[in-house]
Amino acid sequence: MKDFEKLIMKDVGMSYGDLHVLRDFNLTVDRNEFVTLLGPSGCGKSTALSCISGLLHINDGRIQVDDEILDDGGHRFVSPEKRGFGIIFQNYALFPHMTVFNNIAFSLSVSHKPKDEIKKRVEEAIRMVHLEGQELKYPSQLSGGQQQRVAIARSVVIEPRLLLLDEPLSNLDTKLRIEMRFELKQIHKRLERASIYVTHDQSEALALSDKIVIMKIGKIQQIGTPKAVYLYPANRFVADFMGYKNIWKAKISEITESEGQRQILLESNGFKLISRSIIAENIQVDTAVINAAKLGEEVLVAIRPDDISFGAAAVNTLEATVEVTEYLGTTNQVSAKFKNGTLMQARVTPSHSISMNDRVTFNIDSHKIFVIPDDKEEA
Amino acid sequence: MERRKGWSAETTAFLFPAVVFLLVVFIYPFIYAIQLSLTDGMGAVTLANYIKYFTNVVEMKTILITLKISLPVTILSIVLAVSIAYFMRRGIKHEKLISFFLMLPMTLGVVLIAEGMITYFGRNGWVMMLLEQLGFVADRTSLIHNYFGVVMSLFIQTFPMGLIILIGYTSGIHPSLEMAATMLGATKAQTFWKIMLPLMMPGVLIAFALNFTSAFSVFTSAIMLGQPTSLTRVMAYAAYVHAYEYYDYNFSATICIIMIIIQLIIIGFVFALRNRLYKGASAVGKG
Amino acid sequence: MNINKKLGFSGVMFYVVNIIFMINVFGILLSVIVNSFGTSWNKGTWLPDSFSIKWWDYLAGYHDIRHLLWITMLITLLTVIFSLIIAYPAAYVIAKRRFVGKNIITTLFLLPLLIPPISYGLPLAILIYKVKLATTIAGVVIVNMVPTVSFMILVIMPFIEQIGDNVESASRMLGANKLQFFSRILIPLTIPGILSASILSIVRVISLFELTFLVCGAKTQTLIVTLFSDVNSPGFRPYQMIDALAVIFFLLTIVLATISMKVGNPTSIYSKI
Repeated sequence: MKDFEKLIMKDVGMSYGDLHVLRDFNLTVDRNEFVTLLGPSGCGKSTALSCISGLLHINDGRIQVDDEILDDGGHRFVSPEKRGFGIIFQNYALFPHMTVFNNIAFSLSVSHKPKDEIKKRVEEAIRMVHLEGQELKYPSQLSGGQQQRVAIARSVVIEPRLLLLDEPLSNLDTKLRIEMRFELKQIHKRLERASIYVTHDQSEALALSDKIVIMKIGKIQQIGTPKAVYLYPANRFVADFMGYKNIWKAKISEITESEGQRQILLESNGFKLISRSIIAENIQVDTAVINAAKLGEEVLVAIRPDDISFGAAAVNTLEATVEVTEYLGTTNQVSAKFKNGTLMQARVTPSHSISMNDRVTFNIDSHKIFVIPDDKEEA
Repeated sequence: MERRKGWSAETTAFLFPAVVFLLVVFIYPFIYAIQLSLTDGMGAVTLANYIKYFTNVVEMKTILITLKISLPVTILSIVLAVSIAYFMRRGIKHEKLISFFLMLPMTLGVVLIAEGMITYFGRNGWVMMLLEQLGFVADRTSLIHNYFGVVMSLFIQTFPMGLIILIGYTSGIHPSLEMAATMLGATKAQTFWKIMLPLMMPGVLIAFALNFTSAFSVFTSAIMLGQPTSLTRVMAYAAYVHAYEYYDYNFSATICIIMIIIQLIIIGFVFALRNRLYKGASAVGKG
Repeated sequence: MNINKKLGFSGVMFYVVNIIFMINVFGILLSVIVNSFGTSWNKGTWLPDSFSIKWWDYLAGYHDIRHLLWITMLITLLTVIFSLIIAYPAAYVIAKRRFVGKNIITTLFLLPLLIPPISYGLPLAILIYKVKLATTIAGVVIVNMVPTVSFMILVIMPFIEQIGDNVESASRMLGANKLQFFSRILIPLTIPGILSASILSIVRVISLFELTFLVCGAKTQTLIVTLFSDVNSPGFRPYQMIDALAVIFFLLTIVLATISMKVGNPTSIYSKI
C-alpha cells in the first residue's frame, strides 16, 4: 500500500442520533509525525480514532490520505481492513486461542503471504519487541507488559502506513508505563510513519508527541507542539488541563512594551499583579488579550502551583488564609483562600511550618503569570 | 463466604434431602438398570441380554434409525444456531420477544406441538393446501407419520435450546477482538472462521452434547408423528415396548444402557475431535 | 461498531429461520384452535365446513374435564411444593457455602436437567413398578420431582446469590441466631425468587410428559398424558375433540407462562444450562 504524505481530516463530525460526539474536527497529520489526542474521558478522542480507522462512519466532513478519500460521510467509504492502518487497543485484544507467534502472524496469514516470509517477518517483529522465547505461549500465560508487546508486534508486522494507539498504556502500572512509553517512541521512529496516540495522561502526551490535539466534548481546543500547549494554553480549559491550577479573573489596567518585553498590569482578587513576557513568543494570545484590555473586559490569569513561592517579594505579593496543607517531603501542597473567597493552590517550600488557618504571604514570578482571554466557560 | 472445607452440620442438613432424594430416585435407577441388564429373569448374572441384543437384526436396526433421525437434526440445529447466534452477537431489537417465541414449543411441550402438527401438516392441513396452490405438489399427501414428521418435531424442540446457549457464548466474545481482526486485514468471513468460531467452540460442543442427547432419546415424537412400529422404531420406543408390552424388564434396561453408551461414545468422539483441531485457551479475551 | 450494514449469510439465516419457525409454530397452534371449533374439515379447504362448539360438548361428555384438571393441578402443586422444600436449602448451600465435593454435588443436582427424561425415566419407572407405587399419585409426584428439584435449585440460586454475604453476618452481630436469620431475613428476602421458581416450575411440570406417562394409571393421568392417549391409544377419537382438549391445555400453559413472565425472565433460566 502506498505511503502517504498527509492524513487530512476536514470538518469531521460524528453523532449518535442527537448526540454530537465529534464536531468541526480539523487535523492534518504528516508522514512521520507523532500526534496525540489528549483530553478527559468523553471528549471524543477515542471516537476520532475509530473514525480514522474506519471502524466508525463519520456523518460530516471528510477524511482522506493525500488524494484518496477514505470517508466522506456518504457513499465513499474505504473499509477498515483496506486502509492499511494498524491499531493497538487499550485491552490489547489479543486472540486468546492463538499463540504469540500466530497472533503476530495473523495479518500476514489473512493476506495469504507465503509461509517462509511469514516466519521471517514474525521473528523480526518478535525481536523488535524483545519477546524472544515466548513464541509458543498463549496470551493468558503472559504478563500485562508482555501482552502489550505482542499487541504492538502484531500491528506493526505488516508495516502499516499509520499506527493508531488507543490508550495502550492505561492498563499498566506506573513503572511499566514509563518504560513502555520509551519503547513506543522507539517503535514509531523505526517505522518511520505517522502515529496517532490517544490518552488522558498529560505527561505521556508531552513526552511522546510532535503535536498535541487537546479535546473537550467533541471539539478541538488547541493544536500545538508540547511546548506551545504547555507554555501557551489557548483557553481556560487547556490551561487547567495542562496544570495551571490557579485560574483567576483579572482586569488589565495597563499594557506597556519596551525593549522586546511586554508588561501587563492587572488587578486580581484585590491584589496588583505584573505579568512580564518576551514579545516574540506570545503572538497567539496577544490580540484577544489586548482587545479585552481596550474594552475593559475581564481576562484570566493562569498560574502553576509550582510557580508560586513562599514569602513576600518586590512585586506580585499576595496574602491568603491556609485551608489545607499537605506535607510532600521537599515541598508542601497548600490550598489557601483569598479574602474574596477565591481559592489558590501552591506548591511551596516554606521557611517555617504552616498550618490550617494561618495567614500566609506568597509571591509569584512575574514571568510565570500567563494571561488568557476569558471565554466564560467553566473548565 | 465461610472458608471451611468440611461439611458443617448446617451444610449437611441442608443438602441431605436433595442429595438423598436424587441419589435414590435418579442415580440408583441407573445402577439398577445396569444390574438388570446383566441379570436374567431369575436373577443370575449373565451377558445374555447384551448378546441377544447384538444378534437381533430388528433391534440393531433401531440404532441406525435413531442415529438417522438424531444426527441430521442435531447437526442442522447446531449449524443454524451458530450462524444465527453469530448474527445476534451484539444484540438485536426485540430480542426478548424473539426468545419468547422460540422457547414457546419447549414451554408447551412435545405432545401439544406434535398433536398440532398432525392437523397442520396433514393431508388437509394448511401447509399442504399452500403447496398445492403454489403448484409444488400435484396430490396432497401427509407430511407426517413418517421420518420427516419426526425430524421436524425434534428440530422444533431442540433448535431453540442450542440457540440460546450459543447466544450466550457469542455475546461473551469481546467486540475488540473482531475489531482487531478487521484492522489486521481480515475479511468478515476470515474473522468468523479464524476468530469467532474457534472462540465459540466450547459453546458449540455443549450445545451439541445437549441437543444430541435430547434428539437421540426421541420417544414421543417418534410415536405421534412417525411409525413407531416400523419406519421410526427408535431405541427409546423399543425399550418402552419391551418393558410395557413384553414385561421383559431386563432387556428393556439393556436397551437403556446401550443408549447411554452410544450417546457417550458419540459425544466423546466429537469432544476428542475438537481437541485435535483447536488447542489453547478458551478464554474470551481481556477487557 | 457500525460497519455491518450488509446482511450476510448469517443475517439471511436469522430472518429466514426465525420467520419460518414462527409462522409454522403459529400455524400449528392456530390449526388446533380452528379445528376444535369446526364441524368437519377434511375436504381440503382452508377452513372447516362450518363452525360449532359441538366437539367441545363431545369432549365434556367423553372426558371428565373437571377431574382431569383437578388431578393435573394436584399433582403439579404437590410436585412443586415438595421439590421446593428439598431444593431451597440445597440452593442456599450451593450459593453460599464452600465445601468438599461441591463440584460433584452441583453436577449431581444439575444432571437431571441435562439428561433427557426418557433416559432416566424408563429405569426409574421399572423401579416404581417394583415398589408398587405405580399408578398412584405418590408415584407420579415422585418421578416428576426429579427434574423439578434440579430446576428449582437452578432457578432459586441466583436469588440467594444476590443477597450479600454480609447480610447474614450483620444479622448475627445483631444477635439473631440461624433460625431467626432464615425465618426473618433470608426467606422474606427471597420470596420473589421462590415465587418465580414456583410458577416457572408449575408451567414446566404441567408439560412434563414422558415421566408421568410411564408411571401413571387411568385415574392419575395428567392433562398432557390424556392428550397423548387420545391420539395414540387404540380406538377412534375425532381430532376435533382432541384439538379441543389441546386448546384447554394450551390455554392453561399460556396463562401460567404469562404470569411467570411477569415474575421473572424465563429464557434467562434456560440459558444457564
